[in-house]
Amino acid sequence: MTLSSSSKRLLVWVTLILLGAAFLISAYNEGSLEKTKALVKVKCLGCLGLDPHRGGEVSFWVEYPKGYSGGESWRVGKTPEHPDWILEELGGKRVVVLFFWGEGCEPCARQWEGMRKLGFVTGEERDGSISPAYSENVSLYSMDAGVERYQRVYNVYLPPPGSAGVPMTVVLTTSESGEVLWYSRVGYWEPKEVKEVVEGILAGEIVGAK
Amino acid sequence: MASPTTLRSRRISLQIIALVVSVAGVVGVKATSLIYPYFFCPASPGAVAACPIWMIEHGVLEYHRGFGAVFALIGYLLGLFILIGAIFGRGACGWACPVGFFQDVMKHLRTTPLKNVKPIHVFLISIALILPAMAYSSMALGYLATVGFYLLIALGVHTTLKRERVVGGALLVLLGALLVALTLLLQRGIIEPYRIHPRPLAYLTSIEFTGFTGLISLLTGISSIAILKYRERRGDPFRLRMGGKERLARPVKYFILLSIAPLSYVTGTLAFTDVDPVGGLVATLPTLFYQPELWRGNPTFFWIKAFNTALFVALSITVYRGWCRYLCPLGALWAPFNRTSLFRVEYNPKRCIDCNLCIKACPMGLDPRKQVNTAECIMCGKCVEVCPTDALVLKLGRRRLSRPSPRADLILKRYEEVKGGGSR
Repeated sequence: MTLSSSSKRLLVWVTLILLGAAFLISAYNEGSLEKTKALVKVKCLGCLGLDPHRGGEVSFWVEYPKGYSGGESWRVGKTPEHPDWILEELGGKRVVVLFFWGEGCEPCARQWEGMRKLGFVTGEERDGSISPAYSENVSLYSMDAGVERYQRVYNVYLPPPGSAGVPMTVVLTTSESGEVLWYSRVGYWEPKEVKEVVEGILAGEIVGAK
Repeated sequence: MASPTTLRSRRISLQIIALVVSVAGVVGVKATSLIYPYFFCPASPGAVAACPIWMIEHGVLEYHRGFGAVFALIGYLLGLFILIGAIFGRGACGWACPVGFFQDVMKHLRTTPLKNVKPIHVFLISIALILPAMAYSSMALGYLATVGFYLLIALGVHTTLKRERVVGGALLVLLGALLVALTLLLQRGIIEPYRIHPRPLAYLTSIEFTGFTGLISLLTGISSIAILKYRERRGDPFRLRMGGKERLARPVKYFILLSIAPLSYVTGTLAFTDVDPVGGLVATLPTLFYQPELWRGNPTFFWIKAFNTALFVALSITVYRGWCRYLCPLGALWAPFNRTSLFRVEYNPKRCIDCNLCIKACPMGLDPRKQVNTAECIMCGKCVEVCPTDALVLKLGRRRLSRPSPRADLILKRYEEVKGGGSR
């Protein structure tokens, strides 16, 4: 029995619909929707060919500062809800550094490589840590901002949309009175400057830091 | 003719709706889990969904997290695309894609006379769209300014190629040359770069803004003048028909599509996204119009991207839907579905009078009588719009989407009478 061309087309069409549905259901079970949403939230700097510029003086904050987003923000004047594990970490270490990166993010890889060459960090982006020379006083967490559980932390320190993106580097310490002091920079941050800021805190040069 | 106005207005309305929905973040819509069924960058200010090509790259880069992580992205993309493709085929290219819409607009400004509209009016509208963004930082104003900029480019193209006055192209070259010269002065520090106050200086002292817009103006101006000179001698390349050497360029898009995953795997980067011109068109330029002071060019690929974007704009005025014909990897992804999709153009040879109007109308350079629903067809329905005898009909399954023309039967009858009389 030979099928007519319209029957063949119908057969292919039904197969495609079943195949498409099977792919969709299987991918859904693997968490496709959450993963896609998490990726969309982090600005794809590759699409832009641009890196956010956050130059100038490093000044530590307690609350979200004015101009943090490049303009007014609903967060200005409020204290960030620092995750508990960061607060615990700050109880034992003088500085906590959070490095947020994204898959395929060229400036992230460039900044990490720069920090590694300076002997500030060891390992790769995805499983890296602070170099042994600093590990007594400093903790570093390198996190993929496209992964939902890390994105919750990323959102705490993220300026509102418009300048969001990766890499993002956050430096946290505590003041003598126990307040959490923090500074966050979206975009490529010169590795030498990151190292100098952390060393400045350790040397007691950052005003207010413990 | 199958109600051309209705079909055309439906298509244009859908293209505008798709563009507006794509940037719904401008009015506060948050990021979704959806994937655009066309080319649009998630980094565009106000973007709310993922780009399909970007999903492929991210899927590949997830390999170190295991099959499940890769499948979550690639499986989702394939599932969605197979379902949409089975219904609409490559229809998204013709009916929704903002990049296709951009090329359609370029085509109209290149070929359609501006009735009752003087070039000076278009110029003033462009400036009126650009100026507010120079005073206030706003995502919506950034987009309006982008539209104004492309309108300015289109005006130069229109003046050169429709009105056949070199002055349009020459002004674009002049504007581009001035901006590129300014970029060089800024780069060398002869003029202090990134002076952001007052705000207009944020544009004129931003190396990225002057360089990006300068390159686009310069290349578009040069292309317009070159096309004008070329067509005086050898005809207009805009309506290039499929065949000969032109046919050889068509598979390039398939090679691009097939190279995306291996390139991402080998380089560990978003290799295509980093340099693709669509990002430049819908993401980089609006971002620079929105917040020029907050961004610096990526040292590795900003200039490659800027150059590619300028080439893209130049291509869109040289060959109608040139991007869709030769380079779009997403079109290549949709192409195989055309053979079986429900949304299709049906050709009835018995009603055809060989008037060739459909061939002239096809943006992809096809002969709809032989190549309708092939991998190259974007199902835009422009051939259906111009067909005087309803030999071409747009359908979704069995449902006819294009309304029958009341004069089709009359024209066909008259044609058969003349043909039967041997006067043809």
